[in-house]
Amino acid sequence: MFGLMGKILRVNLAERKISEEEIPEEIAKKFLGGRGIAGKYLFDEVKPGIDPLGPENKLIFMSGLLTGTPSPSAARYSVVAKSPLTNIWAQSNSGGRWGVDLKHSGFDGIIFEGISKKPTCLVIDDGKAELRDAVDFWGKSVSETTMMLKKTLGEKFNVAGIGIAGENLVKYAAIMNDLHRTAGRCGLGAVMGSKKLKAIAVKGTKEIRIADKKAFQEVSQKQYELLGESIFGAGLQGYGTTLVLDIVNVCGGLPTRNWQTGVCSFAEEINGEALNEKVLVREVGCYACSIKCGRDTEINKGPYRGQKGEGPEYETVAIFGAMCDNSDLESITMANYLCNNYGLDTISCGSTIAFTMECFERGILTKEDAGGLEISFGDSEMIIELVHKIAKREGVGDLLAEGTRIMAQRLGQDSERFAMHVKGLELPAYDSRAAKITGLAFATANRGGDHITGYVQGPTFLASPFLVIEDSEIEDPLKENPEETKVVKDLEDALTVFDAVGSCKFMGMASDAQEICEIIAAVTGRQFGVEEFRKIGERTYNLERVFNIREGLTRADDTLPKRLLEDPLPEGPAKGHVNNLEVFLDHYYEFRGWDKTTGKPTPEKLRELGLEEVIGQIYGGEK
Amino acid sequence: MYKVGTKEWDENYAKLVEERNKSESKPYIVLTPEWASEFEKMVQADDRYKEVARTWEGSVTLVFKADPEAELDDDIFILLDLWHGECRSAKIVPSEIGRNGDYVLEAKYERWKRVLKKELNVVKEMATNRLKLVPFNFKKAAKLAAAAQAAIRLVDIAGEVSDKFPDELESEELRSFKAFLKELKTDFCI
Ligand code: SF4
Repeated sequence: MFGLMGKILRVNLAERKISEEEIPEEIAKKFLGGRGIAGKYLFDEVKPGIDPLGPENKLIFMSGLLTGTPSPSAARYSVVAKSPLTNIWAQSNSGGRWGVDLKHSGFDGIIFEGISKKPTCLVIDDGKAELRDAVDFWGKSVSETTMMLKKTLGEKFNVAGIGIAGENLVKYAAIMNDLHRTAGRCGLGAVMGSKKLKAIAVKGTKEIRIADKKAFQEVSQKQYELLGESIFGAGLQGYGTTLVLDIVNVCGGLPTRNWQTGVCSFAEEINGEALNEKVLVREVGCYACSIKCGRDTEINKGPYRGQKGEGPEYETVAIFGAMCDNSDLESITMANYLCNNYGLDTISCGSTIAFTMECFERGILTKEDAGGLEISFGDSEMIIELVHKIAKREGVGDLLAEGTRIMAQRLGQDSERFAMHVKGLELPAYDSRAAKITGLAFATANRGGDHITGYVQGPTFLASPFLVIEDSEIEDPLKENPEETKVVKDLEDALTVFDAVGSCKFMGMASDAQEICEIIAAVTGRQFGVEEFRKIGERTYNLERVFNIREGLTRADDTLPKRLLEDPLPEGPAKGHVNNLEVFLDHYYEFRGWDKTTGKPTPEKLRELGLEEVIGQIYGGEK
Repeated sequence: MYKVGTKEWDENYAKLVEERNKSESKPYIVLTPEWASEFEKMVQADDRYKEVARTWEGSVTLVFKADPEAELDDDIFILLDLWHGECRSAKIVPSEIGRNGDYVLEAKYERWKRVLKKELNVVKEMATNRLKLVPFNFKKAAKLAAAAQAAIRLVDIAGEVSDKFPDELESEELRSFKAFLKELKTDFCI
């Protein structure tokens, strides 16, 4: 096979059995790689209704079709499973270079099944895979585990694994690779922990075959040039993803004090400029990326002085900063380091802390409930303490480790109103009341409240249309124009393909679909046009939707927290605005070819996408 | 001819604007000093711009590349002196002054026109290098990316200035506009 290695590993942890399988040509064609192929295996092999932390769940890692080729910014792998946080389809992906090394080790992906009796790790050395004992690594942090494995196996091994949070089944535990890179969302680190799988170490020299090297070289060269002179490329390199913090704030959409307002008065103390001044050491990037939006950082003052690591990124800064009403960039940076080392998703972790702070403010949670802790907005030391407690499930941390949805269910007293999640997944830091269409994207994203599924924040908050779809213009972010729901659908489909090929989504701002198709064609050696590009995205997206429908999801689940639907923003340019989701939903479903009452993809749509075999699973018949 | 960069040049330019404010009737022609001055006043009075551009530092030159087909025979430089949400001035300037702006954005006349008419998205045009930062510089490009909302607001305001474009003028008006540009060239080196 070209682009893909053509092989995956199946690892039964309960029986400690490893086998190799070829990826069927047809699956490769229909789903490309990464999120696409992994999702197809998950759909076929995981039955509805299973316990996400039980033996029947599968954890599937898959690198993208372009991952590891010199195509710009193609470094990513996807992980899929049923999520313990949302109880629906979960996908998370990460850059760095682990996904590249996985391919060089000879495999596109790995399917983990069952539960190991004792802690274990998988080692793949240039085509040979074995399970090893990991009892000594259990209880160790991400950095300790990585260092110990490298010491045992050799420096050239690259490690993806979990920290203590994953072992303790924190519902939003992350899988970390390259020490600081995170497959963060949906709690897949907890799935890994439930399987007693501590880490996967990979190394290899296998070549990724490219069908037409000359054409590939030409088109990727063009893309590098494009990126080299793109203001967004420069912006991301200059400020990292915190580039967007000021922009979101001036739109009145930077969630502050757990989304009580969208205007943060201390944005200048935590923005990209401040980060550069206070903690930046140098810019770092993923494999084959000229943008380098990552940040090597060091804390230079205060109680955490001398601590080093990578990040924080925009979401982390906005959430541990504005959302927790904390203007102390050093503590934000420290919280980020801790999350990386414990293996925690910073979005869910910080949001849960902000939610807890508001519960305290309203007397829903008391000092007695919290084992004597006094939790209030703006308390930077308390944030750090809570991160420790969550990872260890210590005291009140045990409750916080469940995420905001479960917390609100347990606490009651109308706290669900300001528990800022969709389908159980905590929302990222863009207030959709300040850019209405982004609320639709939160409400409908397959993995729950998420921004990157269809990054419609680009054409709204950043005012920059995505070139990868034909028309991504949003006329006025504060108006609800039902026709613009097509932008959400198109972006979701297109960005799904990015996850399938392993490309960074920032590329979607600079290159159009035709250019990406040319790269795919050059790599695979087959004709590949824009129509196929769009269809593969839509097919994959619909298959994921069917997975969720099979789990019992309905139109009623495509919604937003009450705060966004009912509480107007109190200040800023979006003052007085709420989300009126109903204006959008029917139109979105219509563009999608989904039934307006049930939210199910129609049989016609599934047939059109070549998914006829799944129709029976949501319309009676086989379950 | 007034020497570029001198007090004399500045004073006479101000006088010219004052005279033309009296003599010319609205809508003003884009690329004339009176249009630039009107734009400056509107930016200055705009609270939203003040808010979104409150951290912006640096002058921006908009270079309208010559396009004889669109009745523009020479490049025209508009220099915006922008500082922390203020528009301290907006002037038509000679190339040597314009090229010294902190951020020089260059595009064909037709492209600028479509941007100002909001047929094209200014951020997308910058992101795809069709409004080109000249010379390209990573640090400056990063600042421009961070100022996306300020750029949008400036274009919104420009759209609110009651104006007309050179290639939309009737023949008599066009003749006098071209004659005026010649005068500007002679007197102000523009
Ligand atoms: S832009 Fe950032 S996230 Fe994307 S590939 Fe480059 S370094 Fe990685």
